[in-house]
Amino acid sequence: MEIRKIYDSKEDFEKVVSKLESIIGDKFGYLFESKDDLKSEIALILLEKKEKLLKAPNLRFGYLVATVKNALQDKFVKKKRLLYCSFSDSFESDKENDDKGYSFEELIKDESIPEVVKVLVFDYVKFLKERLKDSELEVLCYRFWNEIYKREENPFLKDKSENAKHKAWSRLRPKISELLSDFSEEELILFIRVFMSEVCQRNR
Amino acid sequence: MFLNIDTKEKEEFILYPPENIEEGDVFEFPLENLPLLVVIVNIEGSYAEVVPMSFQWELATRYDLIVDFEHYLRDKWIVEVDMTTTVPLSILFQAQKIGKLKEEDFNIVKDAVLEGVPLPRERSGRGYEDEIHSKFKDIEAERISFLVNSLLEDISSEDESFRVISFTPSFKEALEEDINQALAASGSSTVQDTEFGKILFNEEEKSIYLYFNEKFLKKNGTIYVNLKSQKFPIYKGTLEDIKIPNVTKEIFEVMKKAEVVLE
Repeated sequence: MEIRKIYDSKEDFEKVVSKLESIIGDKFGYLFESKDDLKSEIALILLEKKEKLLKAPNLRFGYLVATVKNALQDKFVKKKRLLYCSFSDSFESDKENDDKGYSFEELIKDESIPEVVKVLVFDYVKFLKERLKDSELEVLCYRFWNEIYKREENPFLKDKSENAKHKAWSRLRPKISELLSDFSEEELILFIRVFMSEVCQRNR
Repeated sequence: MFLNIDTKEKEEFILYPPENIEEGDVFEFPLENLPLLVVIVNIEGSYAEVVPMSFQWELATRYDLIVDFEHYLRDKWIVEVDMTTTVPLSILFQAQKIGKLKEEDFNIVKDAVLEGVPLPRERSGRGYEDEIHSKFKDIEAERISFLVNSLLEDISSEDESFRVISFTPSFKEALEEDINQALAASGSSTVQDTEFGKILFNEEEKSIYLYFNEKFLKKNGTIYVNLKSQKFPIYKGTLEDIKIPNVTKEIFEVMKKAEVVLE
């Protein structure tokens, strides 16, 4: 694309900003009070990077999208505290796309998720795998399955009575509740999806 | 003047070939999803060792040097020493030189690549064998596979009397887009006589062969292709018979107008 054009024409600039907003709005919109605020920030990013973008030998629109996403991440996503990703909407309504999990590979490739979130989710999954016994991991799989697939038959802890299942979970819960409380609701869903894909799939 | 920003529209791109290639240079290949940046570490004859870079520095392993490198995509990158690849120099003509690594950073990378000196801990990531990092590296390996292919195409050429030039997917795309429709219709012959020799298209192999005549053979020169009405170099050096593998007839049509300029 001819990047020069967007800086020379106000209409073209606004068109690009709108297009960018429509693409990244649902994943980054939560950072701002309104759509207009997000658009202003996108415009600001394009202006801050004007000199570099004008020198870019081959700009494709997709590169511009990545540029804006990275800039938003670097500016707004804090490293210590996860901010939520709006996964819950797409998650519930998208039964067809339900691959029953979200593998590490998919997570890495998903450009809409800030890198710091990816790393923290990985760390937590790894932490649990290292600290919990296999039987405890199965209890988690059981619990998470219920959380996500409420209507479907739970394949975990099949040979345990309802009472035993309940006891197993109440024994495990204090061990991990502190960890899980670090997450917001949406982050938790992302974490559960990755956990289920990386830990539970294998054990089924 | 309204801009047509249809993200599904096939994008044209313009290539600005490098004047020269030096160690420490950072080159950018225009791939479809995101550009691939590589740093040139070692040049030997007509080959170069290149190290890919990624802006996903949060996923750094202990083989990735975290560097500050200003770029519109991001200002912090990793230089992935474990993904070092050897490529034929000619493929770098299909990339753009966009800058240079800081000397201090380049020296660290060079020592790591050539002498196996471990990267400084405070400048690299942690871990490597665990799942997260190995998945990340699998994806990176996929991303640079076209570079590895260029080397494979080069060394697997059975007939050693040919020098192999590989065209990257983006470059082939650019050539195919450029083809004049009229030209496509007129050309069905698979041989073209030129000032510098003959260009042939091998239908079975899908390869182009360039044979130089006495005037040009073994001399130093540059082979240019006409791309978007500019002369675009694809090779610089001693002129030997050339093989360009994995190309289409359309690309051959464009190559028919190749020019060779002696030094």
